[in-house]
Amino acid sequence: MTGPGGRGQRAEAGAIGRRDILRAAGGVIAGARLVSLVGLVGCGGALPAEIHRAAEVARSYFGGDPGGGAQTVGDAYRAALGDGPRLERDLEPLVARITALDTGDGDDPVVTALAAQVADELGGQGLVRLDGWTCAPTELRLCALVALAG
Amino acid sequence: MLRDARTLAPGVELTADLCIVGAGAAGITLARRLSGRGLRVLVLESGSFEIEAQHQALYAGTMSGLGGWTLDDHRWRLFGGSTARWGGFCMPLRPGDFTARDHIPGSGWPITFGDLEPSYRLASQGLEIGDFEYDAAVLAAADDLPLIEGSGRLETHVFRFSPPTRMGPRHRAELAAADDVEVQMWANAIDIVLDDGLARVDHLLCATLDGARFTVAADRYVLAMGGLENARLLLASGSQIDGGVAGSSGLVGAYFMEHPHLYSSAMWVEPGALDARFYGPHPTGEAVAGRWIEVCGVLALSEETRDSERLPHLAAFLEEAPLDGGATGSIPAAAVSVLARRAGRARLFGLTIRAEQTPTRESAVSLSDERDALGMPRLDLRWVVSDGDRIAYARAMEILGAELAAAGLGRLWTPVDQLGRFDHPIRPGGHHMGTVRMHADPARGVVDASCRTHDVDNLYVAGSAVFTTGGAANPTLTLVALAERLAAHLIEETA
Repeated sequence: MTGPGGRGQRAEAGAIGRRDILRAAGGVIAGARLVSLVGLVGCGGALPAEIHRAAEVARSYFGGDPGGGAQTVGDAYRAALGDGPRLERDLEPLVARITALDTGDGDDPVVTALAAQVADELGGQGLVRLDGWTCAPTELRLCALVALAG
Repeated sequence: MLRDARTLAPGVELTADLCIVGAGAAGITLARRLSGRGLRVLVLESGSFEIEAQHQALYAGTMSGLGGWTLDDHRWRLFGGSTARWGGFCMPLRPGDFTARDHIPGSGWPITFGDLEPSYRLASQGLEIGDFEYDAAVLAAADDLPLIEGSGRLETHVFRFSPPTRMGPRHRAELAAADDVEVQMWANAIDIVLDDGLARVDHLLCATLDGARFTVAADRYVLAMGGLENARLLLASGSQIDGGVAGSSGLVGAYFMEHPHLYSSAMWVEPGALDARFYGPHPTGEAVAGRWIEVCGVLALSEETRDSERLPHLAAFLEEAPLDGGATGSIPAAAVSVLARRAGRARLFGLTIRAEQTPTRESAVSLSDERDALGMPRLDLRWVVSDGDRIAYARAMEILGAELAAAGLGRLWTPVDQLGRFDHPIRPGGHHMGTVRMHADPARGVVDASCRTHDVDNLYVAGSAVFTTGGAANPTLTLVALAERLAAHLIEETA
């Protein structure tokens, strides 16, 4: 008979089928002002100002993303949704919320509000699974904004 | 008394009040408990005092379904049985494991946790694991260690560690000195012969590997040969009844269960957010025979959550892994650690999941056309874990991940395929259960609540073969507890 077997034995951990799983990518924030992201993807030019600003806040949320983790996670999120209308629809409420929160007092108040939103999601039922990771939808969308800004 | 069956006169008949077939954890527990009770106990052990290839070869067979092991893996044919190699992990089944759950077809033991608890306490002594204390809060508080707290869906369960007790060397001298216990070594039961009414065992036909034959006649018989071999002998004893002995339900060999071991999940933990000492083997303040008792916490879902979500039981072991070295799909754990938004280095724990398997008739042992050196049909084992179980394991891990996230600890990664199934090769634990299942209804089980076969009055079965369901606990403590309970029953019955 074996013991827990697993302790110290992570057999074939590298042989996992690596499929993107993204389920129920969260709900739309009620009453949020929708911002048009049309042309967000594939436009080849600068992001619309609201998106650009939301991405700045997102980067601040992750402390500037010095290790590039948010970029990596955001790229995976974009890949899972596909750079297109689905991603745009998914990000629109968050961009709208950041825009609404951004009253010109710098990033900190917005970041604090977003952190509270993420904490609420982590304590709730709407978590999503991205490539096997169980996360809050808002934190993944923030990563996607960082990734979009490049 | 220890005897060598190879020296018996050809054709001799040995007699006893009780014959125990197999000197593993269950058989030795029974023999020790029944010694001194005015009974003549005869124990038949197939193997030697050491692991030998010729005895192991008797276990070989064919397999289909989930692979990764062979029938001569994980079980050891010698005096002391598989305790010669076990890891010492002990945890009782939970009270809810004994109840009938409508989302686990075939669940529902005919005994309760309360029925077995006194025997669990005796088994704890036999396995040298100290107090029967499995309350994580009590144990953690005693050592001033924190538990991982969730919202109520998450629980910490506890394993206690046996030294591990090697039953063979541990009890050899005791049984050798017992006047009322005769252990015939190198003795194999190869056929169960019933009386004319087919309601009682008349005698056992036995053999040694050098070709000698003898018989055993006793008032009562207990098969204690292991989770697979008990079914094998019953099925192979078909000289009087097609399909073998005790098989009127058609369930001998059916419902084979393992504990699917699911490796590869991982938990990334925020810097400084977790003191995980309770979740690794650590000594308690208890000592037995000069050895500090070690315990280890595992994560599990509450019974209420499992029932409401219709999930089987599972236990998650934590083991710290290199943050940059764990395989966590296309997104490295080190990248995800950005979600912590904290200075400092995150930690990564690998999770090993030990899961309950829903009983299914598709998982079963049967006899193959091949025969071993004794002329016994070899086993063919088909082990199947259903897609429903794989989906349930993934869902359970999703809840676990949500609980860890809500507690502010970090994020959990689990390999899941596009159909929502846990997506990683399932490994066995070497825990063979269910092939001679216990049920109050003779149509739905092979043995009754006392471990007596429904069909044959004086034939009992001991060991994990009788488990109705397997929970998420290693089976040794429970199978020894059942042997203790059977011993008490036999003492009462023969008084």
